[in-house]
Amino acid sequence: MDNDETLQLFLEEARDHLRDIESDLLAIETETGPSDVDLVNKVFRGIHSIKGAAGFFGLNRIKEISHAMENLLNRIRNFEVIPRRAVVEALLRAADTLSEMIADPSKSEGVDISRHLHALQSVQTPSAEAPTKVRIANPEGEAVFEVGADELEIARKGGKNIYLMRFDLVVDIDQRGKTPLDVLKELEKTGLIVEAQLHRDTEGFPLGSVDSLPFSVLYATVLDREMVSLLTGLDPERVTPVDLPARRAPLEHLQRISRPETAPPPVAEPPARTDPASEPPQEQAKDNIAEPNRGSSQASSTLRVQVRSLDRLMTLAGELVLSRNQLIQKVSRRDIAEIQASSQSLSMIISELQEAVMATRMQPISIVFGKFQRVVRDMSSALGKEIRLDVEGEDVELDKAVIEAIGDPLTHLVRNAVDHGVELPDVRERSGKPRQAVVHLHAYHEAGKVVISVSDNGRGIDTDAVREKAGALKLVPAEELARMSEKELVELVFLPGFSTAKAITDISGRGVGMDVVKTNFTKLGGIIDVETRKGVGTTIRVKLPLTLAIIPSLLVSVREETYAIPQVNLVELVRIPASEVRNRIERIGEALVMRLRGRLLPLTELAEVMGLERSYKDPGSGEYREERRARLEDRRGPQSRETPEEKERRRGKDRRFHSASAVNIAVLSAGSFQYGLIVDHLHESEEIVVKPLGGHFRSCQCYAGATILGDGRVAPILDVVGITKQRKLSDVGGSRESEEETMSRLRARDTQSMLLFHVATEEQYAIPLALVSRLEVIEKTSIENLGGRRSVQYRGGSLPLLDLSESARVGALPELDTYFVVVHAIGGKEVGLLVSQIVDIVESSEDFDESTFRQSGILGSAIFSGKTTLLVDMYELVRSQLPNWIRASEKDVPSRRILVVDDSPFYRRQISGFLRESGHVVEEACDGKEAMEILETSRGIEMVLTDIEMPVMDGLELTRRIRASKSFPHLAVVAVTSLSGEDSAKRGRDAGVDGYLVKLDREKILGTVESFLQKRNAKP
Amino acid sequence: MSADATTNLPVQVELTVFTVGDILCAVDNGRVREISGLRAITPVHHAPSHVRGVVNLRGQIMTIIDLGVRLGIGAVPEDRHSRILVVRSGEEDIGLLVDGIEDVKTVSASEMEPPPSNVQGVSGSFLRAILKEKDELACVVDLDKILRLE
Repeated sequence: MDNDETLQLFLEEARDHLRDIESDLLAIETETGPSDVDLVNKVFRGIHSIKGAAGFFGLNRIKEISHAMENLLNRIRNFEVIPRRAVVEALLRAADTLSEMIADPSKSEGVDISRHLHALQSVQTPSAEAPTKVRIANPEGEAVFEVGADELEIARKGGKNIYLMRFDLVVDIDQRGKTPLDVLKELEKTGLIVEAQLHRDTEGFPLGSVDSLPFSVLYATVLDREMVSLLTGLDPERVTPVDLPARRAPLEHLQRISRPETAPPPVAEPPARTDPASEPPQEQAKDNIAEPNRGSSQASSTLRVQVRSLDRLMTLAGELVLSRNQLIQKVSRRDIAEIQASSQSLSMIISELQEAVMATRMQPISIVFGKFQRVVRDMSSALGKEIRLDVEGEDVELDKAVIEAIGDPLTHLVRNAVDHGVELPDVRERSGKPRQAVVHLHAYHEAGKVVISVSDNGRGIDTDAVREKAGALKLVPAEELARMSEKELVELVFLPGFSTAKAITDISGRGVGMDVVKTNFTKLGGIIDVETRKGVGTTIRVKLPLTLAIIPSLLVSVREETYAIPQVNLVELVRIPASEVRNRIERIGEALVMRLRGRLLPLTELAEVMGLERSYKDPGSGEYREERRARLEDRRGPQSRETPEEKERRRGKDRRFHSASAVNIAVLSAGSFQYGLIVDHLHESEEIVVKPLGGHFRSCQCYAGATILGDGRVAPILDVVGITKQRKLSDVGGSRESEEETMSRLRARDTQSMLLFHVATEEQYAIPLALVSRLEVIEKTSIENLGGRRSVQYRGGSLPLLDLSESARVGALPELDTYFVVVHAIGGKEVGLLVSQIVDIVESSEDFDESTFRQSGILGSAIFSGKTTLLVDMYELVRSQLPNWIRASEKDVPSRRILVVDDSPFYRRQISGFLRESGHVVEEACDGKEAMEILETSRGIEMVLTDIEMPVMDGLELTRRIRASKSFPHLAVVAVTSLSGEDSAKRGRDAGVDGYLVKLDREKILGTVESFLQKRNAKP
Repeated sequence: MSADATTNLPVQVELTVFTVGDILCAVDNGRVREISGLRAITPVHHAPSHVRGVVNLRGQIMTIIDLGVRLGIGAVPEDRHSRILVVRSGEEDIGLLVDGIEDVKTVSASEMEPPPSNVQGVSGSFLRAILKEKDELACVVDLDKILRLE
């Protein structure tokens, strides 16, 4: 008999039962009567089965505590006890301990459960009446069980008989190919197991020998003795009816014994107290606070995977095999075209396979959210606040590793909201708010990321208090504080050393500040944002990537070695031409520093980090030669001193003035400060898969893993913070303020979805996805040519086809059998752009370069996936190839005065361009602050088109200010953005935005402007 | 399987025999996962001196230990004879860079003796036993000692 395996099975099942027990118990809690009897039954059954099986394994403490819980639950389901707060509290605490015991069964026997037993008992019977126990003995007179009389009574209800059944594990069970759990389950089908026990001696070893292991069960069933015997295959002699003391007992040695006095519980109550229900929660709640982070990050090495994910993997694996077989065949036939096709299909299958595998790691966020009900309940009860927790989006899935990592920081945020955010009920009432506050936990997808928001309708962050505190702690110079906007002030809470708590209470995390929370999220590649209104509430929003394992990075090299720098740590790239090195790089003491826009940054060379000889590439031979200059910044050599005139005179082949000895610096952010890393070469940006380095590299501070490059080589990933420790870099002062800059920079970028495609092969183009109605595939043969215009039969009509190479000087569309068509809607009709291949859809936060590639039909260029990509001007294409359309759709419109606000010069120019071409007068602003200034000074502005994400003051803040101010009633404000999703729309509406538009959709923008202004003029 | 008292190796054991420098070595074949040809080793600085770097083994980044350096007899060259012996160490695979693979053979405990304190420059602490056959000595290495992180 495999005891171990059976034990594991039992523990597995027990864990299953206990998993939901916390939320179930919280749901049962009520002040009136048990409303959900089914739920009570569910919990009861779970505990009951744990109790039954525990006895078999000799896990007596587990058995006792489940037994006590079971009794209480039984009384609840029989309406004898109301599941009030105190009752549920006792059950919850017992369940906690039970879970711990199941997690580590070997230690469970030593656990002191007396206070749980006492608590569970005392909530049932306010009078401390000791329950009577009945001893059940076998025919030989040996006591087998000790059971509560009331329990027996309950078991007997419904005309049930009680039997003492004696099994022999070996003879009756094992030899019949069953396991004890099987037997218990079978019995449960036809009755109730009151008690079960494997007989053990004092040392805990099972009595009996390898051939015989006695095992007793106290069983209540309506069946008669013969039926029971038949059912179980047990000899009738071994099924002994048990009679209760009230009737004449066929058994001897039945006694009534009072339960021996248990040791006084640690939380002793004076006997005079008549209402024990009120005491336990408080005392126990105090316990709870001091407990270390309960139930946090259970990093386990197994996870549950959806069967459909596995099915998908199976299917893909099958396709992979087929594809490989095909490839092998084609290789042997040496048919290049076929091989290419096969390799393409293989490539697609592999990508899908990779996605499917990654998807198996996705877990619903309810794993993390689940525990928060309890946290909020316990904390609010301890603090005397009334709080309701609403949870939304529990189905949102995240990578397992991300889920494990966000548990702690999220808990901190929730605790913060409860502790600092929410006011006491009386205070709330006085401010006209409902006594009960709401904390809203919401997870949703937005623009390819997962957003988790923790919001409360409490007191909001008091920016004046923040300003004072920051000033008092000297975190920011006073003049700067005075100038800061609301938004900038709120950001201050993320500075290390900041905490608005007047006393660092144990409740919200023992003095760890928001800076730790932020670091935790940044480490995951996430961004954190705070929105708050004094007196109204606070919302903290965290945006996380869907998976940890793939990160965007920049590849750099020193000598012939390539390294990867995670994009999240990269601030900017600086190239210092040879001639400026002297001015911008200096030595302070032993440290190298660099001037960057008035700041000083510490510098270090990657070569030195790696312990390599400094080298330079000889421009002539391409070889790496040892750097002979002792000091990088000294362009002349350690000894000589030159006059400026002498320096001027030296020219010619002096290597130092050769462009190849310019210095490449990657400016990196190491949390609290920035520094520059000098490298030999900067290479492309790439999305890389992060893999761990083996145990031998554990003590190397400069690596954060490694990755495999496209050519199969390994490139270590640099640990940006680790490097500062290794090289002992520190802030030389003046590189700190970039923290806020970084935040602004990270936040200010809107992302747009771009469709990437090819016309001429190898030339990549992009068009905003918002302008694409759909994608189609057509055969060359279906293209009709009428009067020089190409079109195709489409959906009952004719779809005109546009060719980019007709309007712009670009590569021609190749001759293919099939083409892709990008369908675009304009003026109520549709038009199709012919392309040779669809490449991808990417999220872009890029600003477009308007100068280099600008021409008719092309708006600008940017780099996507490492390739120069041209942004197609759809409007221009239509105008040049179907001029009649444009004339028809553009009506005569009166000229309006419009303010366009956007931090990206490219988008600002585009939108202003559309408007000016239509005859409107446009003013421009690059952020909300400037916009307000213009609105205040300039008269006659009728409408504002604003971007949302901008530094200094964003679009929503601008809108609020416009609405709050009396000077601009009826001013139409339309948000022009790329963010979609109901949450952004809602935030916009809350702020007072009149509508939402997508950038670069010329037609819609013009249409919206017109319709809004017409509506406005129609108002009296 | 009962073990031989002197070397604590089972009575019959299968060994992979290879060369490191001029010395013939052997390791319990049960610990060997695979033998791989030489491939590009990416150096990783600040690692212990016997760590040569890492390689890409079918998508896995594997640490390579220069067995010559580890045993104290000089670095193993990277040439067409060199091979990588992939062994399991806890939760990861580690590659041992060796000069060449000779053979796989089953030997019995009687052919093995406890190692002396020094064999041709190799410290006895790295060895489990000495294998004697004809005129040759092969050092049966103690994998756990070699792989230990320190």
